[in-house]
Amino acid sequence: MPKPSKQPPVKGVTPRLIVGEAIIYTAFVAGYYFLFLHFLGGWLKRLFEHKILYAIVALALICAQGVLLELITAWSVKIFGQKKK
Amino acid sequence: MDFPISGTHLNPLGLMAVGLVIGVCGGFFGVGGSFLAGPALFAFGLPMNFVVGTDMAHIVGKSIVAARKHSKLGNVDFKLGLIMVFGTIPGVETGAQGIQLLKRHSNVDQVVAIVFIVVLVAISIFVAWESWQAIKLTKHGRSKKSDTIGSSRSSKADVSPLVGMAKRIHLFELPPMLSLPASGIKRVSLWTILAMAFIGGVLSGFLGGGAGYIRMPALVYLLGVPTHIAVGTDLFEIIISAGYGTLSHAIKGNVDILIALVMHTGAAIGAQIGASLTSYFQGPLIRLAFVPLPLAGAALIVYTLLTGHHV
Repeated sequence: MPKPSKQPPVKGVTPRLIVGEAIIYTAFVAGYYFLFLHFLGGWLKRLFEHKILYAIVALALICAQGVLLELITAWSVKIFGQKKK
Repeated sequence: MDFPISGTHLNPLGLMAVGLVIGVCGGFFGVGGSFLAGPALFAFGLPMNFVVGTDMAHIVGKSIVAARKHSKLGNVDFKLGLIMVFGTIPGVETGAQGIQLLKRHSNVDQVVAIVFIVVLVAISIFVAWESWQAIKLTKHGRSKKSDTIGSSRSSKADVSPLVGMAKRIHLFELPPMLSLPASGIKRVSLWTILAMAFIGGVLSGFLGGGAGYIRMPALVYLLGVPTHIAVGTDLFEIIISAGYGTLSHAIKGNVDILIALVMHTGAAIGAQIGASLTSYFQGPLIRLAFVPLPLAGAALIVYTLLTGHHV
């Protein structure tokens, strides 16, 4: 796919930072999955009978998760960035 | 884990792993990753109508965050994005109605799988050819301003052998004619934009995801939008069109949102890794490295179709 040929280098990005960030992030996501998503199935199944409501809730859920995970990412990058400095 | 909405039993770790790979691809190559997500979900045993709807829902979550980042960098042409929505949404609905039609004839899996294979192989061939030509232009020192997409002074300028195509398309003057200053386009027919967006929308509604594999090259090579603006505008447009597609497919009973949520958690991690990796690699070589991925997706579909086995 088309891609800018010259990316500005990301300062301070090291393999250690990437791995560290991924480990912390994975722990958060695993906790989120077991605490929240695991118990969501039954409720969503019942909601699936009401198609329009289900569609609105489905869109709201995926948007909310996108924003939530982004906030966690920004936080973890900040923490690791400070440690690096 | 049981996913009661689609009535399937899938390994959540497998879904997260697929999301992770897609996220890395998204962060690294700047694409949504539906060329891998769709085939992988199909190989896991999800019916094709759920593959299409669920993949589209998953792409919304990814696009919101990415589009916000691109918007802050000034990489979104909002005028172009909003015009494209008027072509994409009818296209998405057309694609979604196609899925409904195939569902009624009970051959949705086979037909969508075959179209998927054709599209994926075509993408691989095109990207291989284009990136190989771009590498040759760069190596032989023949790259000049006319071979460059975007401002040649910019660090984001991109060498391509297809730049002349956009100029020929701009000669098509069916009113109303528009100017898109944010993308550096002086005059282009509204109908060119709408037609391009409609085709992307049909593929998005029929195959799932955001169809960035079609829309991105179309924006860059057919409209002449600089690459970095094309990425940001495509993501902005996908939020609206894939959001509509998610609603439409969910109402038709084609979205298992729980699968999309689980897959998206992996994708969010992968996107961070992929974005960080781009600082180690540069240039058309990144595009060449992309070539095997759609082929891997096509191979996965062929395997599933031929053997009937699920991964």
